[in-house]
Amino acid sequence: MQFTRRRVLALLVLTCVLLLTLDARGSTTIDKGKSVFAGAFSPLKGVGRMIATPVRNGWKGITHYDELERQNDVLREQIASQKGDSIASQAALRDYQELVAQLDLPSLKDFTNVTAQVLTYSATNVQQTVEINAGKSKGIAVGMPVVNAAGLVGKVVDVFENSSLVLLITDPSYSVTVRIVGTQAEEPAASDETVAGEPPTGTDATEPTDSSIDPLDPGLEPEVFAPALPPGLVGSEEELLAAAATAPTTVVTTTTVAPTTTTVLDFNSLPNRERGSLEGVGPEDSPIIRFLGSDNRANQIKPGDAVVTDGGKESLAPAGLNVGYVKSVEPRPGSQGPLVKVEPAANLFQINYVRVIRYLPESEAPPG
Amino acid sequence: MLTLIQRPTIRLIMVGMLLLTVQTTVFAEIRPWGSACDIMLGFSVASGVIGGPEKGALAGFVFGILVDLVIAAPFGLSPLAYGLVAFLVGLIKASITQGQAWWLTVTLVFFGSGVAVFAYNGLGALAGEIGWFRWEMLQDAAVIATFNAIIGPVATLIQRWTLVLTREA
Repeated sequence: MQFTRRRVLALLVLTCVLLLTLDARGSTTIDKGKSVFAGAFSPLKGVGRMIATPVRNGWKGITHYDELERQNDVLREQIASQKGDSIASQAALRDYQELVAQLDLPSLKDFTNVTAQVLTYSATNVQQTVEINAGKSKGIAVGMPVVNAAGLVGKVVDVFENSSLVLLITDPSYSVTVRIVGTQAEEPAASDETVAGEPPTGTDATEPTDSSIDPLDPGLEPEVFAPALPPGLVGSEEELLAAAATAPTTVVTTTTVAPTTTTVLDFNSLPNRERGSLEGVGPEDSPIIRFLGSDNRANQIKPGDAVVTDGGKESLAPAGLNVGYVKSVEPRPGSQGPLVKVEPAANLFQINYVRVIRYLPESEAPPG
Repeated sequence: MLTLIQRPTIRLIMVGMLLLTVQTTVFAEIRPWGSACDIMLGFSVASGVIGGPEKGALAGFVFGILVDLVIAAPFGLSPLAYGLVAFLVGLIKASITQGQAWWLTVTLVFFGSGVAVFAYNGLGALAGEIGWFRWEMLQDAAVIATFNAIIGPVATLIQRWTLVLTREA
């Protein structure tokens, strides 16, 4: 059959439109085809990575040497300043673990996770994705959240047998409900009271004073998952598991103490939490939070406030994953609410290892 | 076996796999001014220059399919953009001259690649992809077009073998 130019053009366009339509309708044939190709392409890519590594290192050595030196200095400073914060947060984490164990609340430790290595970054300019070396064979499914030691990295968007594609939180098509925890607000007023002859409060789930002990989570509303966790939780889940296991022992010890001092926090002066939708805007700029309320509480958001995932049945991630901190707050007129930019906790340009949390949101669950 | 390898489609797949390896390993990390080069696009456009609109469309389609198999973009978008641009470049080239001046190759690959970036992002936006049509694609287009123009003469030589073209073709 002789192909004229018009026929070639028509054939090309029609075939591509057909493929696009099939893909948009979620064709399993295309998914299977991609999966088979990923398996076949994997060895070739492995060899390519091996050969490319010296080239890549050479390029980075040439183009990023000064930046690396500067980053090294900045990091040394950060480590020094974070040592003090780490001690304080560990104490808060311990309190939180005890509460979770005592109240039998569901938390992040309820989800198993898979550690994976980042193989490559996206080969295109339009999508912010990374490929990791764990796939269906390790129980990974589309929609599962991905974190690294610092915080939320993204979500799984494509799964093959031994690899997966992860959409980063900077991609414009990524969105997740988050909560701004007002850690930068004024310190909550507290008063010390001595209660003689009574066991300390905090052992009964029905008592409202229980929730006021955690300074990062004043509300402790009844949600599907445990609310905001102190920074650093994601990086030390093993420690959390170990500590949670010892929690019942702690309960027995504390109830035997007769005269004790309890700290009563002024509930009204605790920093507020604001909820919104975190959306990526591309690699060049920080993700933003939209759909914030325009009431007075939004005015309390300050640069440096912690941002964590909000959770809930429809959310793409369980509650309490670190996302980052508020970078800037720009007030906007009308009912739009402020434009909040978020600096991700994870360095999305240099990810080596990630963990895929085996949490599947309802919105991503397969039909039926 | 030998006759199989002499088929342009088989050669396109073989060369495409090698190029895809380079694209997903080297150019995923080496990003001049923050933009990833697109070697698959460069070879597609070079096919249009050396082989004309039909061969260009075929090469663009095959290379585009290979790209879409490894990324999470709508499947069929890359072959559409690559194929269309390679076809158009082949058409323009055929209407100008039958000769193969190196400067013409470089020019056509440069502009073809730049147009392809806009076409790809525009078609992606039409397909419902959020944030694809943005100002930063001007920089992406400049980087990709420049890189592809540099490799254009070499790419045409390789594609001449891949598409089983004679010197006179």
